[in-house]
Amino acid sequence: MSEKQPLLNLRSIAKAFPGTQALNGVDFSLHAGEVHALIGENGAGKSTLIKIIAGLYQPDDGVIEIEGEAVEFHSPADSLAHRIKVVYQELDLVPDLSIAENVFLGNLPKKAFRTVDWNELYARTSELLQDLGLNIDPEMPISALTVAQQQLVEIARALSRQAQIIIMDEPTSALSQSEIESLFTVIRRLQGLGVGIMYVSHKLDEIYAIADRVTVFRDGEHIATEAVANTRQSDLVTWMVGREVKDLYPRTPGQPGDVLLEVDSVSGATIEDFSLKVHAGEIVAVFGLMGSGVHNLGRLIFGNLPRTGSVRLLGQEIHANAPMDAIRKGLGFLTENRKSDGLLLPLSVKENITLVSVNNYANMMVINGQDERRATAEIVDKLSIKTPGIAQKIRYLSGGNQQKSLIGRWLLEELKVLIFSEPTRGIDVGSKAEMYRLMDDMAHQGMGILVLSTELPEVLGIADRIIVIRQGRSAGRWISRDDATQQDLMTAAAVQLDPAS
Amino acid sequence: MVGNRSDSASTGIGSWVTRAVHWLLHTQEGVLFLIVAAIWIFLTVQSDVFFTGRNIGVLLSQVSMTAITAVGMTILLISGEIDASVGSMQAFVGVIVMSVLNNTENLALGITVGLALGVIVGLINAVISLRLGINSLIATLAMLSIVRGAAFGFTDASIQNTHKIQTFTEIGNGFFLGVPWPVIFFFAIFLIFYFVLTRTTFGRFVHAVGANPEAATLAGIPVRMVKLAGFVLTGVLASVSAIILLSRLNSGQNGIGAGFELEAIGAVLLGGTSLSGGEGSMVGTFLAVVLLATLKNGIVLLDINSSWQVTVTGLIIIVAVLLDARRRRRMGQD
Repeated sequence: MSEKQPLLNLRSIAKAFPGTQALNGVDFSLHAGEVHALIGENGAGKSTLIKIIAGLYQPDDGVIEIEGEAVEFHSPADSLAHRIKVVYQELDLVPDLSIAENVFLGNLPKKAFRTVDWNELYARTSELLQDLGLNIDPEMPISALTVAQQQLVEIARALSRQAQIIIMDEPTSALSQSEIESLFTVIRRLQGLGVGIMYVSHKLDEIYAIADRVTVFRDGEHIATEAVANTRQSDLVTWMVGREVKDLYPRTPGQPGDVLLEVDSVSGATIEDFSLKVHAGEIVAVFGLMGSGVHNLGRLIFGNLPRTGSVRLLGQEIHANAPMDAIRKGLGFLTENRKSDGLLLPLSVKENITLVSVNNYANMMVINGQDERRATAEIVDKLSIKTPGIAQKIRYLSGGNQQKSLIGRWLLEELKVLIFSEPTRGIDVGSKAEMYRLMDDMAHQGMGILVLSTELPEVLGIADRIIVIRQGRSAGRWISRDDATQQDLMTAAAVQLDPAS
Repeated sequence: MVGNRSDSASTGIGSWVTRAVHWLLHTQEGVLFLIVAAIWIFLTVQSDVFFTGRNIGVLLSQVSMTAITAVGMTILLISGEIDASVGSMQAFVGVIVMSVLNNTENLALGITVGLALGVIVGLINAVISLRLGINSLIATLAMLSIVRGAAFGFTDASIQNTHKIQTFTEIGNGFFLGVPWPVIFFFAIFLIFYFVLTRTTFGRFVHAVGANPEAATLAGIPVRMVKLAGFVLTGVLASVSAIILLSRLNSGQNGIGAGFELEAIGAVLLGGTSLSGGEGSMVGTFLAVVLLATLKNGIVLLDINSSWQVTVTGLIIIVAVLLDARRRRRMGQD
């Protein structure tokens, strides 16, 4: 890279939380017009670094320099004042306000008597949106936009404040392939404007598509910073994981047994007339794109959304609208939004892990603390959940360890079938392989696994049978994953039905 | 939660001291404990009367009604709901129970009717909040008014004691082994529900539905039933408070209990229970109630104008909510 002064230079940043050293003297620099990727497994310290740059956390040690000048951020306002903009995974837009109002929120153009100059507002917003290749009406409310469009609005907001440093936290996690392409176009345009972009991601192929340099963190340590062109993918993985990952997909199919789960002509929400079967010892995947309804399917089967049609587990009907009944009969469900639908943030790791199974350690409603602790400790051990103790509040654990705790919640139940919606969303490479191995194990122990996924390689890597869902309906079935190719599945999932048919 | 501290693997006297110091300085319960201890020491030095068995008995008896209702309120707030109607319940239950006692001379019937009223009002609160989906603060504020109206409708004057049941008068005024009965009720109810909250599956579910109702539903927990139980429990315990108050006053008064709800809710918040649910402490509520009582007692003993007692309640609520907000910010919850 150029020898010029970097826009942003972080040196020896350290930050500790109760029980963990989140960052241990890490460095990171960003030049004008550069895309610098930051990668690392969950718990590597990426989020902590972002929050330090955003002014949400103050580092315990280290220096932040903006264009060579040491600065201190005491609040997000300080960070904004240095023209830094963080685009978070969960966008912080006001859904009921218009695009233009969101873009200029806190910064609205004014006329006499401090009233809003609406004409100016809409004109300037249109201009910004067009710069980003987005041709939409600036008067539309945010709630009417797709996630991808909302993301661009966030970027427009950054531009409206002349941001020179934009930090993108997992920007593609909710985007389709074509939306990712247009995001990359926007990023290149920003580069041309001299904006420095810190690109935080799990997805290695994206790093190669967009980044100039890449920095790897592991367990709060700085491992490497290299030009992407000089780095092999296997190096990145080894740096992230600290060892070589040989086999990401360890699936060894066994002989499928009896039918466990039968879903018969189920309709409801965005799903129409969907059927499937899961046998003992089998991993069945339903693959669909975002918006195909693939995620609703889990809620319908589990009884968390109203439905018609029949769902049977071992021949017994599972009542609609009653997750309690599903669990009692041996069905478990891990939703795709594990954080919002799963975590009890004020509670401990133990209480989170035993949430479903706590009745098993209780006699006449009185919990046997020893039994409960023993069961929790086994799960913590089995899933290698990193925590200073099972009494630790779960909010202090890293995202990946929170995820593992939620999976552990279901391992304590005697389940027949577990529905995994996006089993590896937000999980790093090392833990991915672990997760797949766990699913393989469960299948070998005679459980049935139903995977709902929008990730093609995952579906092909782990499933014994594959069903594609498009617009809420079944759009093709493959008896064995050996028959299915990426091409077949993507075509079935993505190609529009002929309107005449 | 208090129960979890024993989960730490480390043992030995050194770590025990470390944990005790941590509890005192870094938890709301510990800080409350220090404040209560400091005020008790101060009042003992300032007043010859304060630290006498008799005064402590009076102090705890006076606060027993607030304390018993606050026990239910702690559970309800942790489950993510609230009940503002408990103040009017003091009057409504009072006038009806007194009239039942006067007319039947039957103690068991009077108490049963009182507790049943608690169940009924609790159920009504639950149905309005959970079924009709009206925020429980608004729903129960409305009930505060409705129940007060019912008390006025039932009688336009206070109902004097004409029954001859000595046992009933004993409830609020008698002693057992030198300890006032209200204090015994207060301690017993506190201990029972401390256990329920920290050691039973119901207590666990109360925390879960308050922390994340969606997660609780997906974990098979009957969210509405748990919250309903919280409403009913609060209603019943408010009735218990009302019966003790009735016995102490010796007459059913339709205007009594105004501001009672604020005192109970304020104590729970001051004890470290979060307004946003999922988090709370029975020990904290206990200490907060004792603090509240001590301040009132101190105002009297130090000859300060006793009208300020009511102001203290308001101040305490503001302090409690500030502490809650500060704690949540520190935990990075925004």
